[in-house]
Amino acid sequence: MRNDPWWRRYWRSLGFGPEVAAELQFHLDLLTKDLIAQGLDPAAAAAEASRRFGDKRRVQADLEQIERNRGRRLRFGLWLSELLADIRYGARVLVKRPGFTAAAALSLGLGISTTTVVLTVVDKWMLRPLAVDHPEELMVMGATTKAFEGIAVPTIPLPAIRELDARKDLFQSVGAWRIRDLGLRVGEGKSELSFFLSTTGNYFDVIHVRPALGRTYSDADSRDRQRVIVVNNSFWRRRLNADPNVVGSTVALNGLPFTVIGIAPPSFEGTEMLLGIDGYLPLGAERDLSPTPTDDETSWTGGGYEAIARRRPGESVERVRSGIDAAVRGMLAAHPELPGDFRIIAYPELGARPTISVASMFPVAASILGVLAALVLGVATVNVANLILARASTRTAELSVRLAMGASRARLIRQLLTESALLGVLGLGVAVAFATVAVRALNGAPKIAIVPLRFDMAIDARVLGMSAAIAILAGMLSGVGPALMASRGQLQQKLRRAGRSGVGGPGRGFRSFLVAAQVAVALVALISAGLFVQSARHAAELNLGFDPRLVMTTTVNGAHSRYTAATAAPVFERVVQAVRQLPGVTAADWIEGTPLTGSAGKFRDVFLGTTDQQTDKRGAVAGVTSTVGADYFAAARMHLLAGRLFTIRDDSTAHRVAVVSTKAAKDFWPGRDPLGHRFRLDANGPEVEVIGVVNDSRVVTIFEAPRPVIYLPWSQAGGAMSTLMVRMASKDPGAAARIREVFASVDPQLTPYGFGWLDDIVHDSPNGLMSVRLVAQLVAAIGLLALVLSVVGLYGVLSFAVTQETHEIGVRMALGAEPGSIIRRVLVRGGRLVGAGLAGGLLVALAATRLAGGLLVGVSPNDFTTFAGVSVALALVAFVAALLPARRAARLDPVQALRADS
Amino acid sequence: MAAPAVELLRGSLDLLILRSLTQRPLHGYAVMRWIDEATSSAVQIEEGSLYPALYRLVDREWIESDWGVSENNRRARYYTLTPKGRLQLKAEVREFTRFATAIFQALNFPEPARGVHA
Repeated sequence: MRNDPWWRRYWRSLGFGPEVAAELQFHLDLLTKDLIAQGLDPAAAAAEASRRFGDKRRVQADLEQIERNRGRRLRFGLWLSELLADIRYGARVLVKRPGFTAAAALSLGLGISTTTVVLTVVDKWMLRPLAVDHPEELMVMGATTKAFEGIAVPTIPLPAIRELDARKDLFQSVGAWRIRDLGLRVGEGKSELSFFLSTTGNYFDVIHVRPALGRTYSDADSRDRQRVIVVNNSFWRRRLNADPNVVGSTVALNGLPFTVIGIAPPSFEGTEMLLGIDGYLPLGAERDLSPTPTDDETSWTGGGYEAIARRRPGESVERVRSGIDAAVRGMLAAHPELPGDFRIIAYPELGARPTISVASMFPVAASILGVLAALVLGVATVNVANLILARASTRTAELSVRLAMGASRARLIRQLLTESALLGVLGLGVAVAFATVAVRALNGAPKIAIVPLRFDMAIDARVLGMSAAIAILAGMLSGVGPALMASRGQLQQKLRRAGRSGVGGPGRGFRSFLVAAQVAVALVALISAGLFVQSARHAAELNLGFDPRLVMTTTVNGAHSRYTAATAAPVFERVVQAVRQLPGVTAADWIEGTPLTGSAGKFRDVFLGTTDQQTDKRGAVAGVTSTVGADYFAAARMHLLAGRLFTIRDDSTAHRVAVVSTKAAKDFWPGRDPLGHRFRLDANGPEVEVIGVVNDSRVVTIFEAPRPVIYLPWSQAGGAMSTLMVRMASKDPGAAARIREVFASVDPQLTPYGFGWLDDIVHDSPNGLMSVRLVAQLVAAIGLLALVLSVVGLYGVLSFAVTQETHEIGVRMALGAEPGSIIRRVLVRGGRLVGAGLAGGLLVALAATRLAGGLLVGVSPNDFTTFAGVSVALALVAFVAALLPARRAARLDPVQALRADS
Repeated sequence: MAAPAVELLRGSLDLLILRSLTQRPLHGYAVMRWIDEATSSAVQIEEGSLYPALYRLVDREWIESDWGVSENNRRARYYTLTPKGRLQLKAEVREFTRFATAIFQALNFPEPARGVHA
């Protein structure tokens, strides 16, 4: 018995087992009696009866089995039909009050959607392991020095990675990779910009990726400098037409033929998480692609690699880390060329996303987001609980009738919980809609002109399942308090007590505080949104010192077509001369990097050769250099203020010249005419003479103060990679195609990429307006979210208060109070809550916006119009939210109001 | 030791049980006694078959069971024919009669004359 399974014990506890036994015993007894009546003595009769019956225990077991199955089916059927009835009933109740239902579903939906979005982000970047064997063994490593403040960056010298690979006590194997931009050409097509991972030969062995087709490469391939590549599945589908026979064919990388030996499986897109890459090539072969290869294999100072390692099974992260520290101490002793504070930092692969340099910050950011989402969800849930409470009290009659008619308390609670779970389901629908929009916005937010980003977040089935669970849970949670109270009949007592004494029940103070706090948060968020939106508008009209409108740009890397700086110069000159002949082109020239994208402007030491400057210990001051062609200033619409611009005679054989910005002139030669002054960019480099001064402009980021910029002539300092700036007479949509044709006519192997109008690029660039725009949108979204939540919260609390005071209102009306005075009473209560919220919010907003002052353009952090406008708007919305319950109070029938309470 | 028993055709036990309950509710032992009497002890059923048959009929909702008090004042489980069971009984009687008639007809079928080929 004791060893029986739980269900049998349960079954017996319901009395079924004994019933079967009793029935059979009854049968046996009657049989025995009849046998005695036929003349047998009692003992013989009992024996004969039991013989005839056969194996009683077996029969009993059979019968119990039949009963059990039947019971189970019956109970499930009953449960299902009750559930369906509850759902039908609940749906009817919700449909009957569309206002309540909409408010509750919206509030819950907003709360749930924030968690859905955060879950999607966290799932993509932190929870989903690589689709390989034992992904938990994988670790990534970067190097750091004190200057990097302990932040790991992909700068490990290759020999260091080889040494770690030899440490079989810690690792199964260690490989390395870095991102390589290439010019890629399939068949006779055009060369296109492509990003590959250039990896050690053992990369695929470390990660354990088996190709979908063909093979991967090995250490031997890399050592023998085999020109082979493995391509990603997406690239194979997009560019190779998913051709299964493509293995063994060749594509051109930077003009050299490479054999495609394998296709990666669709589940693996590389260990680079931010950038969309097309494939992988062995380091040994990559060296052939650079015009001036460096020997990373032996250099302890060069090479910027990130390491990927598979630690020995069972080895802890801590032991691996201390092992690495010990190994690095050995490296420092053996290789004095390493900086003394050099360190290698290792993270579990899942803990180092999206890139290793933010590994330590991302979990913090994710937890902050998580806590915020939970808070929003919590507030939404409490709001809905208030709404349900306010409404449940109007349903006491219905509930008492059902109790009186014999519905059990459990049954009633189940009914009410089903209703709130239904609200959760509605909320889920709202949440999925909101979250889909939000995730799409997040995916589209970062746009960097030339780089394909892997921002492909999607709400997948797992996140959806989690959200559904959260939705139903939150719905039921918001309903559980009211349901318990209602089923105990406490609601009425509570209402009565509260109504009579005029003092709220427990939690009333907390509810009021919560609503006031929500109003405050909404005010802060909306004021911030107002300021940021204005700021974004002003920023778009900012005087940048150059004119980004009507300028078409494109970038080309000569190395992709096997050019060096020296061989590229005449070719690039031919390109720009041909472009100037195109219709609609008013000016065109080269610049190294694109302004306001982070690629233009190099921070350099400037040696002025005088001692009256604020210099570092080697006698240098800080400046920014930008290498441009002579016509660049015209293309950018910059103004020459003194001296002259570059001419054709300032070529590589002439003496070095420079044009400087006003700020550079003032900083470097204060109070003097800068023209004719000389400086050096290397302590032992050639002297450079200042020949002209141009106006200040923003080079690196849009909000920077003017920097001391030194413009060097393209003809003396240009490299193999450069950006073409073409000023057009109009925003001609055919411009890009015609410029592309010019490149092709000069050299079909040239790969111009990132075509775009400069103002669009500035608009989308993180160094340009993207951050401003993004912050404005994000804050506006938060503001709207907070507004809706606080309005629903206010409405719920006031509705609840009105139902609480039904009796008192009835008394007042019976004593002759006008409906107007009743309305005023409710509005005053709402006004007090909103007033407290607004006052608190204004104080916080004053402090908070001052902190954000540095991010604002063209608008004061304490802008009166914004503060006043948002406050009034919020107060108006709150007034409407309060008016609804107030009018309900005024429409109460005094007789019924009094009876409701007796 | 008992009288010669007819081998029960499959399904006819259900038929007999349903028939036994047409007039009034009976407990299991009474059902067995009724069958014994009604067939003049030609049909002998075992408890090991009777009770599972009763429970299955309950499961099919052709009969239902309830606890009552027996003639000698003991708690006993009584079985009652449901309306659904009554319809089922009618259908089964019809089917059984058709079947039995067909068998009898076959048993009395005149032999064809020798030498005639079908």
